Amino acid sequence: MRQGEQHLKAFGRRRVERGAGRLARGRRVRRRVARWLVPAGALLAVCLVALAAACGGGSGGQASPSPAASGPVVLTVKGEKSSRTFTMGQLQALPSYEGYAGIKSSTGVITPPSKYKGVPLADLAGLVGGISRSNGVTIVAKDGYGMTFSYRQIMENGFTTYDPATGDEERPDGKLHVIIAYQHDGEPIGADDGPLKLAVAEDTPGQVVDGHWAIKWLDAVSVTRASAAWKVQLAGAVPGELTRASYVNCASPGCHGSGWVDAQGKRWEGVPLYLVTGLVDGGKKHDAGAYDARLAKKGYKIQIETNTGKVITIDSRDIAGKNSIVLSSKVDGGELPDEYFPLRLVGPGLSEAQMPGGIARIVVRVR
Amino acid sequence: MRWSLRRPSISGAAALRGAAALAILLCLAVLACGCGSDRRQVKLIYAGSLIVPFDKLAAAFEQQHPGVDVLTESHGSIQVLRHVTELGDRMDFVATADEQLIPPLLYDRTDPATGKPWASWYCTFATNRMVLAVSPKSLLAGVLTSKTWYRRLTQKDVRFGLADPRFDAAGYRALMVLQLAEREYDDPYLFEDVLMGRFTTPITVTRSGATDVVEVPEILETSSGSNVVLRGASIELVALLESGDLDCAFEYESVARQHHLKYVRLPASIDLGEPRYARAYGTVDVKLDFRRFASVRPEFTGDVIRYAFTIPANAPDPELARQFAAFLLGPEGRRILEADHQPLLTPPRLDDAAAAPEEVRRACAGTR
Repeated sequence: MRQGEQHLKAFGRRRVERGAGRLARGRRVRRRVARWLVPAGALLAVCLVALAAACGGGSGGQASPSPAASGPVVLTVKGEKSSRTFTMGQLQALPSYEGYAGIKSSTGVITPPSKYKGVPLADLAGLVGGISRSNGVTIVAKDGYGMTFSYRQIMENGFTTYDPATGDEERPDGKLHVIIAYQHDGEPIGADDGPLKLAVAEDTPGQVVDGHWAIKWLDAVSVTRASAAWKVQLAGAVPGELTRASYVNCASPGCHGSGWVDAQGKRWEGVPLYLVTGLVDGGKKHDAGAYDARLAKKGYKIQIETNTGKVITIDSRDIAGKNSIVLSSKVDGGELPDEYFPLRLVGPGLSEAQMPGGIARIVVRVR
Repeated sequence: MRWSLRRPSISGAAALRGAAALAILLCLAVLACGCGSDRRQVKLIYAGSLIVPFDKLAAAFEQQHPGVDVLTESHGSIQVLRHVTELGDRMDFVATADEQLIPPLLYDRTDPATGKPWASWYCTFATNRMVLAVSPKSLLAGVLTSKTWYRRLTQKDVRFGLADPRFDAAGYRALMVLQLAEREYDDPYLFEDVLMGRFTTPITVTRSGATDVVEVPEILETSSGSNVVLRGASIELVALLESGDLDCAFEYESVARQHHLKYVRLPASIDLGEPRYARAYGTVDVKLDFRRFASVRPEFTGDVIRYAFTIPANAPDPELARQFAAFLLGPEGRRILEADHQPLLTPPRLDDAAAAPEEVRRACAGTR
């Protein structure tokens, strides 16, 4: 080996040795780092988990550990016979649902679905007596904005829903949950919309609903009979209405109260239908001559419309002068069942189909 | 084997300093663009039936006013006004499809910040009429006439659309049309025959003096098997007509024409578009059985359809708002509206000329 080569070799060797030394030092440093890094990382992970647990993270169904009864009331829920108020802590302690909700504005602008967490409206209504088909649930916001939701909307997916990508109408993929939401995307709902907001949510982000259902600044829920102060609309030669008050007056035993006992022995009490037609078959509404018997004998149709949209037609000749064919509001001395509220037509000679309940309008076709 | 010990061409610290300097320069550039900008904004909010022409008006205004951005938003007419008063949105220009709404919602209520009314004048600039738009895919396309349409609607196999009267002025106006039609066609049961059995809780009519009062229940849902399709906004019915999911629907004439839909022209005595029938229109009221907005009395009287605009007292840029208003009322604005079949009031009318801005007064006077 020539001297230069030897020199180079030595130089190269020294350089390698220096490089190797640096490498070795690097390896020692890495080992020292690893020695403290791993346990430090483990400790950090444990701290993070503990912090998350303390903050109450996790989705759906987990209640806050101790509902705060103190604090301002954020929601009032009223039923027909009872009411409850809730602080935010108490609301969050109730079983919750978390899902995706979005809206389509009246002019077609889509706010895509995002996550909302809250208490199902049906559950809140259940705390004050529950809801049935004859109930509506009115939601009121702090600025006085109000919407009434039907049983069908709350319990039976009764909303028009749209594809969030196209805005086209489409059926929802699954069950829709109407919730009083207090959390959006994991955060409390801010003052712009909250602290409480109504959301129509689903398990997947596959639908949006009309924006007017998404009430913000929500602060009261009322469960009411869909038509507590009921009235039945009358139409005929003249328009009229049968209010609860006028009906009760008319149905009293000293006035025109009458009844019928059906084949099962149930006693139905009310006002004869033919007398009710007399309110609108001509100019005179009450007293002698109000019911135009001659016109009824000639025959005209009486259409009875129910609150489910059913319409039945009866001939005036089939009911003329018959006190036992009644618009009934009581059975066996008690209130009618919800399915028949407020009035049911009953009487001899009528088939089951001709005895509808939930009467909402009567049209006397004398013109 | 090759060994190479790499030396960096620039030190790490120097690289960091360079990157930081670049970032600072970029930030300054962005800030300079924002702070020193001459760009202005004018915010418009208007009724949904004005969407098509107002999109074009906005674009044309921007073209004529470089440096101006026109921001637009549309809703049902009541909601438009509510955005100004109850929802606290500061808007420069507000247009509604029902001029009747402006006095109770903007004049009679005050801005809490100033104690003064939200507005003190409005300008009526356009009209419209109700028609029965027909789907191009419907078998009724060539069959419905102004004499037969209502009888067809009573047939269960004819699907027709209605805007929800609780949310959309077009909805309560359609109910007015049906009630007025009883007199026009001398059919005292027309309203009942078209709508009876279609809803779970019926829409009913009572008489109060010489006025027929149509009462819309709190919950309005179509019954099972109903041939009526209800949607929150009349504009949503257009897609259903185009797809053939509806045979026909009550719409504004301008909307039907904008979307190239055939339609049945209704008699002037019922279509809410003819001033000489204003008195007759006034014999029908529609009353909502619930109060959707705390500030709005839920009862509407039949009248000629009139669109109106105003500039709220708290408009962020009132000068630009006045320029837009003048543009709308000027030759090009009117040309755009007319091209989109929006009937115009000529001349436009101010309810209180003394309270209106000079530019709007001049523009109204110039349109004669």
